[in-house]
Amino acid sequence: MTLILAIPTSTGIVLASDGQLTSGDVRSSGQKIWALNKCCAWGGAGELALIQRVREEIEKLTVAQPLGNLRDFLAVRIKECVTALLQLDFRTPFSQGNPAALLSLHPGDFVFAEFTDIPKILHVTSYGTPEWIERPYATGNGAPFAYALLQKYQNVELSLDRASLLAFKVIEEAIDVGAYGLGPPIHVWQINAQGTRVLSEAEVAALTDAAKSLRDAEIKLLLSEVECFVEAVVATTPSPKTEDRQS
Amino acid sequence: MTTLTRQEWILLLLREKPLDRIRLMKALFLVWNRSHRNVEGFFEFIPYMYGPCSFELYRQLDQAQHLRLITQAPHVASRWAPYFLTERGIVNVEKLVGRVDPHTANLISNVVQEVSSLSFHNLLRRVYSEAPDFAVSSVVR
Repeated sequence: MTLILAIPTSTGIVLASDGQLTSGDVRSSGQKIWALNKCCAWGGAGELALIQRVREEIEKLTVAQPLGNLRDFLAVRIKECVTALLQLDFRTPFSQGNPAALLSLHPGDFVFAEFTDIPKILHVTSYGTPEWIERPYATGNGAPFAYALLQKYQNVELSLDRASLLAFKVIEEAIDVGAYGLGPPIHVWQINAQGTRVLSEAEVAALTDAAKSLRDAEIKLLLSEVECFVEAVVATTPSPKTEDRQS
Repeated sequence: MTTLTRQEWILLLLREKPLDRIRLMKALFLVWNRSHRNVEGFFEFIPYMYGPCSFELYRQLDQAQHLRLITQAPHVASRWAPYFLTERGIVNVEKLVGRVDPHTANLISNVVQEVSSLSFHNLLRRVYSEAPDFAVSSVVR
């Protein structure tokens, strides 16, 4: 279970994920985002066996090409990995003729983020369909939480640092509300003209503190607005005595 | 001013009162800012998204915890729990106290009392009013 988030900006892309790995009833922590090449990183949500297999395939490749050239190539590799797992799976014959049931045996979803002169986000499903994404994108079982929290930032232009803070805060809040299978540590990658970079533990700690200050400010803002609203209502509402006199 | 290591500064501030990570960050900043920004070997601050920030503090806190000089009590959100000196931390810091000149000791005491008494929001306002150049990247002003 996973939450991976990609937020494009004009100067780069933030790719962030929770850090909990779930295998049956056991959880541990680990990485969910990896470098594809100098200017591209990718992440996978879904079954660990499928993600491991995709990762092995990607690591075999020389992939120092633009994501535009790699799109179909990556989609084919992912489809082949799903096919290979289905061929190995004892349950496969029982789901023949039912594509939805077959795909549910080895779920997976993949996102690739590249920045050269513009941000490019590629989403590839486990059935091998690639699509370009031009907005913040979330995948994994925590995605509905992320979309809800990101909604108000649609079409808002952010710097790479602000986008990193937003991604961190969204994932932190998704973890806090208890989406099943999500957990720390939160990993944050920045992909920009200088290349791919994973933020250090100290940088993530600073994001934690910045997210707290932003959260506190949101509450403060709401409270102050409510107070202003109450004052405005009081100022414009005739007092009962005035009403009595008028009647 | 007394020359101290970064870890010694942390221990001296926590000797006054347990502080959470953000208050400790802002307290260290105020000590530096009120010392004409001239303290040898001190933390280096950058204007970050919640005001002055030194990434080095996070590393020093990890190290001090690893050395069992400081600890955090159980807390629903452990990242916000105040840091306390351990017995080992207390022994270490008491050896330091004699080396600290009265002016510095007074500054530390005043700053720690101040950051402890302010709400988080008011603490940021105080810091920004004293050092507006460190508010330039902040998400909250």
